Amino acid sequence: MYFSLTLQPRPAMDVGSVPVELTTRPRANVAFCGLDLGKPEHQTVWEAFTESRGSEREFLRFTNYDLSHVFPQAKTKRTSYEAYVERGILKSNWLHKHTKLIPAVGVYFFDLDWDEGDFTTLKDQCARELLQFKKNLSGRDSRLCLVLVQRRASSPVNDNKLAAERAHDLTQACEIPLKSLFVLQYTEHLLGFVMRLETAIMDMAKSYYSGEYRRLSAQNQLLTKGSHQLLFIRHHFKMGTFQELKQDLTAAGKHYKQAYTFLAELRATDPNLLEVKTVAGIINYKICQLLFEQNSPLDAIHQLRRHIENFKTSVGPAALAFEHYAWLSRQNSLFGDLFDLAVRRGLVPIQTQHPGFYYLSAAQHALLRKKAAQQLCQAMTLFSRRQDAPDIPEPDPLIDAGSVPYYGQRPWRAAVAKGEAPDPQLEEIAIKALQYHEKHTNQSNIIIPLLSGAVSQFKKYRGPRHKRRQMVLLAEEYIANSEHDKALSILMHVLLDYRQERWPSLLTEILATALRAAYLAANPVHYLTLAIEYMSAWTDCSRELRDSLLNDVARILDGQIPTKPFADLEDKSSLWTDKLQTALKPDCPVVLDMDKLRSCIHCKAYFKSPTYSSDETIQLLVYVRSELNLDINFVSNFSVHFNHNVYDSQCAVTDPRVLGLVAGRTHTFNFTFPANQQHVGGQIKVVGVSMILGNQNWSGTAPKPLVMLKWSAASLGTQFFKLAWDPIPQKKTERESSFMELPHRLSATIAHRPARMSLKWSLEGPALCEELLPLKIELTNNESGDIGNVQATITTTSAGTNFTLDPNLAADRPSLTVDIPPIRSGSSQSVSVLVRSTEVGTKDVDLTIYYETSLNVESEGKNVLCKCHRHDVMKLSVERAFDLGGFLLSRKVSPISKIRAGEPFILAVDISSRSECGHGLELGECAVELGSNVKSIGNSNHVDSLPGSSQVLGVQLLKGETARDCYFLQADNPTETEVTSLGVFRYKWKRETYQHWNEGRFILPSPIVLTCPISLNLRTPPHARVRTPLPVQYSLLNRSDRIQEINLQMNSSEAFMFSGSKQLSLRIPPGKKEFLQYNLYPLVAGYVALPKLHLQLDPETTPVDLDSIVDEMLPAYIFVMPHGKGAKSPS
Amino acid sequence: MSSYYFVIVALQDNPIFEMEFQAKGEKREDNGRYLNQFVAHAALDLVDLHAQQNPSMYLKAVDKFNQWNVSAFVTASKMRFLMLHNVKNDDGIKMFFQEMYEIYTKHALNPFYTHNTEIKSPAFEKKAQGLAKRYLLG
Repeated sequence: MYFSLTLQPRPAMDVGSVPVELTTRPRANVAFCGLDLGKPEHQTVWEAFTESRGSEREFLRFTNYDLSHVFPQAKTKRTSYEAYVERGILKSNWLHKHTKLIPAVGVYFFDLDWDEGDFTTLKDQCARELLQFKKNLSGRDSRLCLVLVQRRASSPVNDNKLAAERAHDLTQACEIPLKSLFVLQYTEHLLGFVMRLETAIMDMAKSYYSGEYRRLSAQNQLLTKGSHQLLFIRHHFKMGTFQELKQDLTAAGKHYKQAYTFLAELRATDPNLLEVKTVAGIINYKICQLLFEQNSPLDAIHQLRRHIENFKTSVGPAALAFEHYAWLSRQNSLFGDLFDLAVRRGLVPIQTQHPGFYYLSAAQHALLRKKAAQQLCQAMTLFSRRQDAPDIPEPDPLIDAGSVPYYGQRPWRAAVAKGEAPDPQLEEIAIKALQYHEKHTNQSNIIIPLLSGAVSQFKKYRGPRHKRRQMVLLAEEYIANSEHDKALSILMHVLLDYRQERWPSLLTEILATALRAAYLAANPVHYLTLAIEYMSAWTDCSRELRDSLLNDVARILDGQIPTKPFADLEDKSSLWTDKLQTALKPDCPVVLDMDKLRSCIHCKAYFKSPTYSSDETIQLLVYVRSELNLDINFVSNFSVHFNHNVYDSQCAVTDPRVLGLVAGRTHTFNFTFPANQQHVGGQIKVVGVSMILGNQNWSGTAPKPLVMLKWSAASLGTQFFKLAWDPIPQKKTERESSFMELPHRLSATIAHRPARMSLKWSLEGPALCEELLPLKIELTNNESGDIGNVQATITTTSAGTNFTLDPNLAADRPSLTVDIPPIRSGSSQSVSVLVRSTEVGTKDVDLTIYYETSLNVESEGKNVLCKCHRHDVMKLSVERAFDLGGFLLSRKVSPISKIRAGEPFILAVDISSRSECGHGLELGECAVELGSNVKSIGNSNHVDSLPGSSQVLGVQLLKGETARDCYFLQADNPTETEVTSLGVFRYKWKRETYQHWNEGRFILPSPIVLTCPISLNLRTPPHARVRTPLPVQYSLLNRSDRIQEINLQMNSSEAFMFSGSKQLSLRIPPGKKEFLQYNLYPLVAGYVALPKLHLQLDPETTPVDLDSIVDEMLPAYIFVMPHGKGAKSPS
Repeated sequence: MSSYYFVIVALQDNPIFEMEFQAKGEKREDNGRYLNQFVAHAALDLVDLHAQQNPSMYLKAVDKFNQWNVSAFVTASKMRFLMLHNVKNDDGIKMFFQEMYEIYTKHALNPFYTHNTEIKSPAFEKKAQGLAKRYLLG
């Protein structure tokens, strides 16, 4: 019998699970022989086949056998099923045999090169060994092939005559067809050869499995529907498996479905129900697996739903109800695994359909199983105890559980023929045995991984509330499994989320569960936290429980162990005794973060005023309210924490008489304290409130634990209404709402004390631009005491305005600090600074006076040095002092815009006063800084010279008055195109009343300098007299460097008779002067035009009229005095 | 056999009205109310999802937990009516939801009622009981 060959005894299969062979897709089975893994070449070949089998490789499974290995022998095939007795549905060894043991293809490897010298011997050896291998496989239709492992590369057999010949010989000797001979060249292309060989092997495997399938299909024809129900199922399952091995998934699916249909039609009774369900589970698994493989997950889901629906009500024997739930749970979890695998291969699940739901469902059924087991197996124990028998019945009916010949059959009733009646006594014992096993199974170990799986899936696919719900279930299961610490940590985590939810009853319930866990785990910190939270008014905790919890809190603080919060919990006193010692240290209190709790004690902090000046007393109110129904009297310290911790000590209460919290009453702690001078100008903030529970001053031998409740600013202030307890709509009582309406203010500004000092600015009139103006500030001390450390800082933000103290130093600083000697109470002190502004406009001048004074602050009862400051702004308006203008005048004192090189001209500077400062402005030294092209000719002995020094020195100007300063200048070189700068005019000025001279400068105009070919001059007496001869002399100077040809014409005039050349042609060499004398005889009196001189340059070539020069340089009129009475004409 | 648990969940996931209905003679399970609330709360995940995808107010059964099916109805103002039931009664539940919606709307019009807070009206409860008798237990 092949039984002995096949199976090592296997562990009993769990209810509803599937054989391991099915969990991975079956691969075509291939047996290798002749590979000696000791040889490196063979090892490499073996690894090339077996390692890194990616999805692109063929679906093959390789096993390497010795030549001596004998494969399972074939049974004789039936030709008729008439006498066949059905004993079960699926044989439990068949799958293993056909997927693991019987090869579809046998591959024999042999080292042989075509050009081997000793070919004939080796050929014979090969043939012998191959024959042996064939014999081992006898009775099976397994395909056989020979692979020659060659070390040397050779050309293909078709092109190689020697090879072709020898191949032929070899196949003859081995009695195999030529196409079953393969060559594997051990070269660098080994993997390519292997791949090609695999394809060939796969083809052969397919043909083998097709053959098997056809054979089975033929046998199936022999069955009759009425009598071979089980065989139909078996055959279709087998056909499906062969198709699957052939990798024809569609055909395989069809057969599996067919098998499932036959199975569903089967009448299931109590004795065979487990078998039917097990097989249904197996087939359903296969169907779903293939559907996922074919990427139709929806069909898979429908299949599972139908499957569960079919068997949901088939509970079977009532005593074994837990088996049914185990089966249901397993079906769901297996499907979840398949789904998860598909997801990992790229399937995209959605929020409503993902593996998590199946794990959850599996967990639910596992819970039901646990419940059922608890009910059923409890009774069993009682029963056996009464009999005084050991729990395990003798002989153990389950001893053969690992080797039942058919899937899902009972070991004590395996392979019975249909219709055979079970032995009732054996049945009873067997059921008891099963119950015994169930009782010793830890179901929590099944439930917990399922729930964990579900939690992680729901986390992935966005089901936050589902996830939390399952975490609670998980925690409950941990509690049931006595893993209290794990349960507690999960619950504490989940509670964070549920506190954000607005569903108070859920939170209450979870708190109760967590409280149980905390008691069982003996975790004092969590226990205190949870107890304080659970006691709150919003929970639906009973009054008795509340009392006992409060009592427990008091006990823990007293160093004693708490009582059981719920009566049904087991006693954990000893554990508590240990834990209390280690967890609660008396010297450093355990801190409970009250921000995260919806606690029963609320705090609010309120500064009475948003700002306090530095000499005021800060008033802080802290409201504390306990939502308990009982008074608390174990608070030993209450303190407020500020952003500056110097205040902390001033806001602490340690008096136990004050600290007893009365139920339902709002306590107000009123703290008053002075502001610290260092924090003036900053803010004072409440950052937290803490309360120490327990006896701080305990001096007994046994140390008592301390617990600190801590509220941070978040729960005291703005976040207060969001997080702590408001979101849960509560039953509002009068007092509650009044607490809600209490104000809160967590920060206040400490402002400077207002300074008692008066300032007086003294300033004469508006400031003038560029003026160094003295600014006098008078400070008067109005404080009750003297002030010291006085410091004045004067600044401005306006550009161009600067301050100085010393008039001899440049005023270049936009801010200035002056130390002022102490001022006695009631007296004054003045400060002078000088200000200069270069720009017109209104400037802000900021003045800040800092000083210190000693004050008596009420609350402290002693003198405090108080810093004060006084700030003032003055508007300084700046005006322009002068308007300056520069003019150019010709020799004839008529304004000109252009000047001629070499010709003298007059520069006139007008200084007009514009300011209305009440006093005259006195001008001082003025000077011209001439440009390079200009020189002064004032001091030369020129006839018409103007004075060179300033004519305006000492002149005083009132508003609107103008002074003019004149200079006689001459430009040297012509600059035809560009202007020439005349230079800068500098002047000094001051107010009549002030001492400092201010300087100003003015940039003189820049005229164009023209060339002048000829310079004309007329010398006449200052005036003429009628009918008295008037000798005049014209002089013509050639300024150019060439000879000038000039035509001169003197026009006649009605006012004069004259003698001299009327028309003349002249030639003047460069630099030479020509004089022309005329005698004029005036005929009329008055301001008379002189006869007009007309000059023409270069009359021969290009005549140029010089009228403009004549007009510019020569006087046009002369004053002719009338004849005096009695005076005789000289004629 | 039939038992129902009905809850109205307001915008901030806070329950504002809860009620349980049992066929006569049905014994209430221990801490049943707490379990129901858990199931209803967890089902909100799926209700919200379905409400996005489904234009109609009545969403049919959206979730399942042990024997409990969860049917939902989401009003125009996004109030969620959830019904946990262990029997199939689609039509009855649908009618119940619709009638409930009507009386809820009327209640919401009451100027003394603050929206999104617990409904504490005996009249409302009585009407809900009446509807339950007619559509769920009748």
